[in-house]
Amino acid sequence: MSSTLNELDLPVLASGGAASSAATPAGPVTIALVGNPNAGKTSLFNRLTGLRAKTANFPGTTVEHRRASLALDGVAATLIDLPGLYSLDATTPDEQIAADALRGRLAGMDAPDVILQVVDATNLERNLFLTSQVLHLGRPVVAALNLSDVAERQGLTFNLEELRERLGCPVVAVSARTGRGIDELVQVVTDAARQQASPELHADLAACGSCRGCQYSARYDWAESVRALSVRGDASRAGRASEAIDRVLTHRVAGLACFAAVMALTFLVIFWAATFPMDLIDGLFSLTAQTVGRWLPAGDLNSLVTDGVIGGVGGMLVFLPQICLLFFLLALLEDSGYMARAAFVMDRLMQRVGLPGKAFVPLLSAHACAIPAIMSTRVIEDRRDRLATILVLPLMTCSARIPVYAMVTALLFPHAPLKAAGLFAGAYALGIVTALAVAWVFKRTLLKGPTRPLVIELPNYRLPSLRNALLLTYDRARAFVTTAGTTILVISVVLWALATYPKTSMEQMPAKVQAELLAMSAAGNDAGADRLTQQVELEYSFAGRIGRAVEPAFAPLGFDWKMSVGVLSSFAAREVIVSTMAVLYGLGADGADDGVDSLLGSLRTVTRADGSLVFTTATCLSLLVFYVLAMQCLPTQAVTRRETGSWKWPLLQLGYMTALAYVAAMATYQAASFF
Amino acid sequence: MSNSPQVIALLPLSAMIGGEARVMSVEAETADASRLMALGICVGRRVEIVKAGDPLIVRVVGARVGLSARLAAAVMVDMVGSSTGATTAA
Repeated sequence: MSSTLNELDLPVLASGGAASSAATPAGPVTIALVGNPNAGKTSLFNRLTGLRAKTANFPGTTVEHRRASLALDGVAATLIDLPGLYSLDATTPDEQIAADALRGRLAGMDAPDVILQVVDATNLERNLFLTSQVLHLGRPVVAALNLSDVAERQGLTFNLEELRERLGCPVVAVSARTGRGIDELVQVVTDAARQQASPELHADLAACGSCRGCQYSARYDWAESVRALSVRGDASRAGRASEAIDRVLTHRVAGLACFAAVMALTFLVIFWAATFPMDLIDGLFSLTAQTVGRWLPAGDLNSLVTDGVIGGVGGMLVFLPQICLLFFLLALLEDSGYMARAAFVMDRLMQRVGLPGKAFVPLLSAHACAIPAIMSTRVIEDRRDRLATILVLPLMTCSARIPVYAMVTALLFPHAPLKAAGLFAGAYALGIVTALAVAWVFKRTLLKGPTRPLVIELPNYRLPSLRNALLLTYDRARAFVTTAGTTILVISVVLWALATYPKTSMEQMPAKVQAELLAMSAAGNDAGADRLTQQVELEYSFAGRIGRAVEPAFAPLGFDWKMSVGVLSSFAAREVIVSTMAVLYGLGADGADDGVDSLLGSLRTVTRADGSLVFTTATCLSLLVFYVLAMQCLPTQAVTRRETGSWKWPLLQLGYMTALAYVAAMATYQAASFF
Repeated sequence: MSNSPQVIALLPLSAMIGGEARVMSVEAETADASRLMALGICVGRRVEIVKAGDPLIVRVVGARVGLSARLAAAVMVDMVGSSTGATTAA
């Protein structure tokens, strides 16, 4: 095993192109990396490019890839990491794009000048199937025999000369992990880019392309013969360790138990380890808001910057540590080979609701945040399966719902921790059961179609690469901040404006309020006066007016106008309801921070106009059900739009979840009021 | 199923509980068949059962592939001299 520290070394290529050559082609040459999943393609890409890579979409698609500009011994080049594939006869959207890109059929992208074919040396025969197809494309090909160090440790020796002759293209033995052979590979790729020589197909290989009907068999026969001629040794022993582990991890019962344990541990780490950076970010933004608030003159601009911009962005960034940790741990699990086993053991159970086993990890990830979960559905091959998964993911209890659950359970069961925990768990269960039921319905109606049967490679277990996991986390975190961040910034400013305008002057306030305010000021209760002013101001703002206007619509759910404002204000981000309610029920904007106790204390005593309590058991349960089921997260909607490539799906998500939340909350309220 | 004259024991891959066999035909839907064949489960390859059941695991061209029994039922195989292999199907 190579040391993981070693992998953190900087890439071996220098970024500046010092050398120059007369034979340099005009414009940068494009080099496409192609290979089987698990062949170490990403490791090799990272080894060649390091932090210079950018994530981009293929033109006109939602399929992402990484690309980087580099100087290969004087030749300016663009390296493109294509999605992994087993065959050019693609069966998934990602594979289709990789195949189209290689053939130059992708609009806005020419066929690559050089194809860098990454071959897993530990399983040459299977990998050579794709190589045989790639060689037939007629573009210049360089084969990188990756993981050659691992293969040698397994007792395999390679006859590279024989391989070159059989393949008809340059072959370089490399190790992306240790960096071995990379310098030579760069040189060979540079030469290939300069010479633009197509592979000289060996007669045996040329024959494979001639008959379409049996091309799989013919190519595999060819791959078998090439392996037999160029590789000595038997590596089947290396797979025995993985198979021994798999006897437990893919076992019908033990496998599920192990999976539950792995996931439980992952979530413990996410929720515990994220606390510290989350507090730090929260503190940092409060401090920034305070500091900026002191510098700027008091007034609308001050309020816009501190409450609208800094508050809004901070409220979003506070979830970043959880999201990063989730991506990081899932990347490690994926790289280790475990995720294929998880999909394997979950497949039978998930098929019952019409989803593939690969949908399970996204569904679980959504308990931290729906956004990374939606991004991680890319592993699902079938488009209908993937859409059904994306549509139900936001029903899972994400961390933003926890403050709301906490508030409601504390209101209902202040001195009964067991009952409170039961209600909390019930809210989680409601989300899970609803998500599975809705997925089942979607797969039988709108997204009708058989679930694709499981076909998954179970690679040998290996030590995951920290470097790859960190780079992936960085990429995904950046995508989250740019997609979700810009949306939430706009929404925060809009919400701020709605809650701020039109302004109320002292004279416009009712006489009763004016008298109260004067009395408070006279008694030296400035804080109390401020709170009352805020409360009245919010009531008079657009948000307050809208709340009053929609109150009749929320009345069957047991919500008063203040709760209606809270629900509306949390349309963009659900956790906002806690601070909105703190303001509306007269605790001041900091009420929620001062301690939940003061908020709860005041909520418990709030009465309606007729003197009855607002927060009865029925209202609390209705509010809880509403927040479990409602789609109140614009960043999630923005990511759904990005991942599905159309506004149709986020709108459907919003529509069905809102309807479901409304009906379920109303049923809950009416039923609970009855008893 | 197969035009080979010396078929000894032709059975679906899903009915194997162990041992090795040679793939004789793959009769799945186009997309599913492509996925199977790209991973090496195609006519002429030798497959070895690593774990029977649903889903099951086979070893094929040096790699392990997990697949659902529903799909394995579409793969007809010919048992190759193996003592551990037996059929559960009629």
